[in-house]
Amino acid sequence: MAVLSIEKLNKTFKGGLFEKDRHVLRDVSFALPEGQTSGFVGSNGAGKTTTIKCIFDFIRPDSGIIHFFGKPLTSESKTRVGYLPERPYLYEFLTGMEFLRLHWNLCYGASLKDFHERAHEALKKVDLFEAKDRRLRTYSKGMLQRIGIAQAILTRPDLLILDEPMSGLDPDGRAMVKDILREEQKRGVSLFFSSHLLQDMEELCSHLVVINRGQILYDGVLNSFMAEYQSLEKAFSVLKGKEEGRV
Amino acid sequence: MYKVWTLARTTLREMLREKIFMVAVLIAVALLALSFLLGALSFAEQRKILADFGFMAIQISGLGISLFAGAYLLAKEIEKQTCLLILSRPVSRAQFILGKLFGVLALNTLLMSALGVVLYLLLGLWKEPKLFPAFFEIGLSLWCESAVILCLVIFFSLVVRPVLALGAGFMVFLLGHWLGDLAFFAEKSQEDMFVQAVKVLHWVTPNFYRMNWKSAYFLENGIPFNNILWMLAHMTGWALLAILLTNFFFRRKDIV
Repeated sequence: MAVLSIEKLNKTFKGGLFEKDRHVLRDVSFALPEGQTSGFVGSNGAGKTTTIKCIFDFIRPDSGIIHFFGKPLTSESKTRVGYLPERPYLYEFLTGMEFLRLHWNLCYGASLKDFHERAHEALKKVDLFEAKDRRLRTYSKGMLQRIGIAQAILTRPDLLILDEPMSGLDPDGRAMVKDILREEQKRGVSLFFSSHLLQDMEELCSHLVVINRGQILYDGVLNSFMAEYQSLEKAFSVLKGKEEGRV
Repeated sequence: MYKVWTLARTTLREMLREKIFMVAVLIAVALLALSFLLGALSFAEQRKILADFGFMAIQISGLGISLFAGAYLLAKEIEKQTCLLILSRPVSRAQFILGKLFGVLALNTLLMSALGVVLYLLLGLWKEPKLFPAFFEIGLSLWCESAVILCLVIFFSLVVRPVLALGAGFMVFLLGHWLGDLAFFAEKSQEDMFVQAVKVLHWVTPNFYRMNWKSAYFLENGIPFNNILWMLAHMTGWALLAILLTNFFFRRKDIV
């Protein structure tokens, strides 16, 4: 069973008085296999973030079907999914621990059973245990990204959706995020992350979804995609070139 | 319900840790101090002046928080996209709105209660316990007024920019207080257009004029029970309408 399946997703943003409507997603369809790491690759403005926002209903699609674990998005399925938005803007007036507790309470209500154990585990994974009582306002950009990841893995979700989790991080930060993602892979979590950095995809993914100008160019096994080409970068540019040639 | 409580608690924590609360407290304390000074300077009716200015200080504090916090409450969450993580959890948009709203209401309750206690002490009301119900009812009317303004400003902030929402909220406050005077002038002018316009205003503006009890010499005359019931029904109706409209628009809003 696919952990996340999307069928014929369409979204158009209405233009202003003198602007044209922008059709940003065109019949986007793909499915994420369970227990695998899927990459969502595309140039800036290709529609990656809009698709992810539609998945969580932050943006209402014009049409299309989205299923988590075979069902539409419900409160139950939301507790099984961890999410990290692009450039996470967090409640900076909270401390790291308060921030995690907020997300725990929103998932499990008042019960704090297992909270401290899970929070400490997540904080240690992202190397923020020592900073847990500091306000997020005092965190660096890399630390904010890591506490964002900590909240995503706090509830031990079955599916992790991360929007550009490594953007803007220094090499150490990127290496740390990759290590965290590898640990989650070992735990059997299905991972879905977007990036325009193809090297990250090659390192971490077994499944690939390619999007360009709001259309899916490829949805399948990464190795098959790369079989004809020497690198993912080459494959991506050829595929993109073919598609744009048609347009 | 616990999710709403969690969000309300977080919003209250935000407000208490941000400068807006300290500014509101400082303004309120300054106004209360001024009312005390003015009361002390006057020869007659010192308590009335103190009460009038004291209630005005409480009203301005509540109104200030409702206008400023309400205008940016959802707008900031949408602009900074901080709501994305919250809404990715099992939280509906309605629960999110209610949580944020209750957080600011809790702040208003805290601030207005604290100022009410100070005014109570300044007026020496503990010596006259029979006057407490009227004192409480005036405080309640001010709280209800600030709550309705808050609900309306939150709704306005979803359809226009926060600064315009703030201005619109202030206009509603002024119009709501002018309704009685406008009706009086319309009747005197005998201009049909004016009369009709005031009738329309009565339908589209909460009637704060009818619950403006703070200017009454409350220490001698209590507030009739029917008036209190009318106020509670009127304010609840307006608050519910604003919350429903906010929910309707927020549910359809794309958080781009």
